[in-house]
Amino acid sequence: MDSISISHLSKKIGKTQILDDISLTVQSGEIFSYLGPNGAGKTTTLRILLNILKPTSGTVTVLGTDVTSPEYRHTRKKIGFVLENTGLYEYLSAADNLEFYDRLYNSPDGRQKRITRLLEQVDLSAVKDKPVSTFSFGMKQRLALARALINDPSLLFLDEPMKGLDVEGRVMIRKILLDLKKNGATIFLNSHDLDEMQRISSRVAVINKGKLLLCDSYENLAKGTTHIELEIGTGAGSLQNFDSIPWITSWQQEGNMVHIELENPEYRNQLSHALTGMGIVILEMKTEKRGLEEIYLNLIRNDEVEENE
Amino acid sequence: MNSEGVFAIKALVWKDSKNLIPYFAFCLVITGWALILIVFSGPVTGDSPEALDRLVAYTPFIIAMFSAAVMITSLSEETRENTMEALLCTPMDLRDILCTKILFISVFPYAISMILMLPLLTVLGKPVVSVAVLYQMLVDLPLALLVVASATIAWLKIPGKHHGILPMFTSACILVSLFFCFNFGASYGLPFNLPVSPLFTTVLLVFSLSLVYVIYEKTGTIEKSNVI
Repeated sequence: MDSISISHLSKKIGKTQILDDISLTVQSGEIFSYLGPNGAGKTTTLRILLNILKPTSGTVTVLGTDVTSPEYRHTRKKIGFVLENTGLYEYLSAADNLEFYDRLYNSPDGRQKRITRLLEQVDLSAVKDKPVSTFSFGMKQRLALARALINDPSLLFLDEPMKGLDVEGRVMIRKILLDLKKNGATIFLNSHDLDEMQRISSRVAVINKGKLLLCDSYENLAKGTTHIELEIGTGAGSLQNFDSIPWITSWQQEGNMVHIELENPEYRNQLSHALTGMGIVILEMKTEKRGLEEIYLNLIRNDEVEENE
Repeated sequence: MNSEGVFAIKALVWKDSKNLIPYFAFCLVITGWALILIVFSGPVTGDSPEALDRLVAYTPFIIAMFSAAVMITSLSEETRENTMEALLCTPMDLRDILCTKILFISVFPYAISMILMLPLLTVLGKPVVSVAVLYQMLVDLPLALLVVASATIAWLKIPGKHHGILPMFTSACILVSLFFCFNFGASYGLPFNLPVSPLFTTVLLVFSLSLVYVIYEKTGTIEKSNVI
């Protein structure tokens, strides 16, 4: 079942096209990353998903409800969120902030227990009575996440949840998110933090200048980007035969170093056989899986080039 | 209606009221400055009354300016982009948020402005509450509430691209409402007829611009103008 379904979503503000025909789905129980550079339209998408902004065209369904319908207000009871600006009340204490939002979502039963548990979860129990204005950025982010969990949501929207967090904070948030996923929650993450997304998300979508460039599982993305670095012996045979091998995406020779891109890491052994067949002596072979960062940068770069052309 | 939510917002506004202190200070400075200008300005009517008489004559308008200023600034703080945006993502009904915030944010500073202004008149040796002041208070409250409500609705109707609209709209509303009171004061039954003097116009304009600046600063609309 899909928790989020976006179909041909476009958003225009004035003459600026912010989102252009975005279509994607997020399945229940997955962590989905929504990546893109600044100004790509990530926050606008999130605002539309939360019905803070109306789409110009297209349909958006969240937990089975059209976000523009009046019923969506009730669906929000099952949604947690951390926005780009945390929206915490700076003059109130951490506990007061949580209490306020708890009153908006829950009955008074077990309120104090809930607040105490969440503050412990994000390691803010020691400062629960201090005003939020005295908190560091990372502490505010953690408190905002605690607030997002106050209603035990089945869907979480998080805008840059790791922003400003130290290593301990990141580990803590990562653990919380993975635990939520284990319990069946769906998590939609807006982020620039590619490494972190790679660790926790199952699927990614990349957006640039309002256009969706790809939407796939990280596993699939990683398959096509295996990089092989070869050191070959001098006086080796010709490498020209590489051009006729379909599973070699590209190759480049610099002296006795050869860089090869494979469609799939499983072709590594076949490559060894092919090289031996060509009479090439392999001195060293290094395999490197290309990370999301390189895939992402390539996508954005290609999109920019296409646009300039 | 989510009554628990409404109570939560009321409690929140009360707890968060500490951040009104700098606004009160700002409004006091501006109002004090306006008072000085008015006391030492030209005649209010053709009869050249004493400075204190002039002051008393202008008092309802000073109160209107002060209370409107406090209300608008406090509203902009309480409904500033971040917290309002977060509230809009909750199951709270927009009408509940709007009504509760307007009522609780508007009435509270209005009452405080009254408490602050009336002793000032006592110190100056004038009656604590004149009929004119009382009458103007009654006129001013719904008018100011209307200003606040219109500004908030205008602001919320266009979420995401409201930057700069709130302060401009509210200052325009303050100006219009004050000029309205000023010109039609006599028809409200006020015991004087005040012409719109160039000095008073200047005072209002400077005041409004200062207010716009403070709201801009406090809501961070200058920095966040590029919302996308």
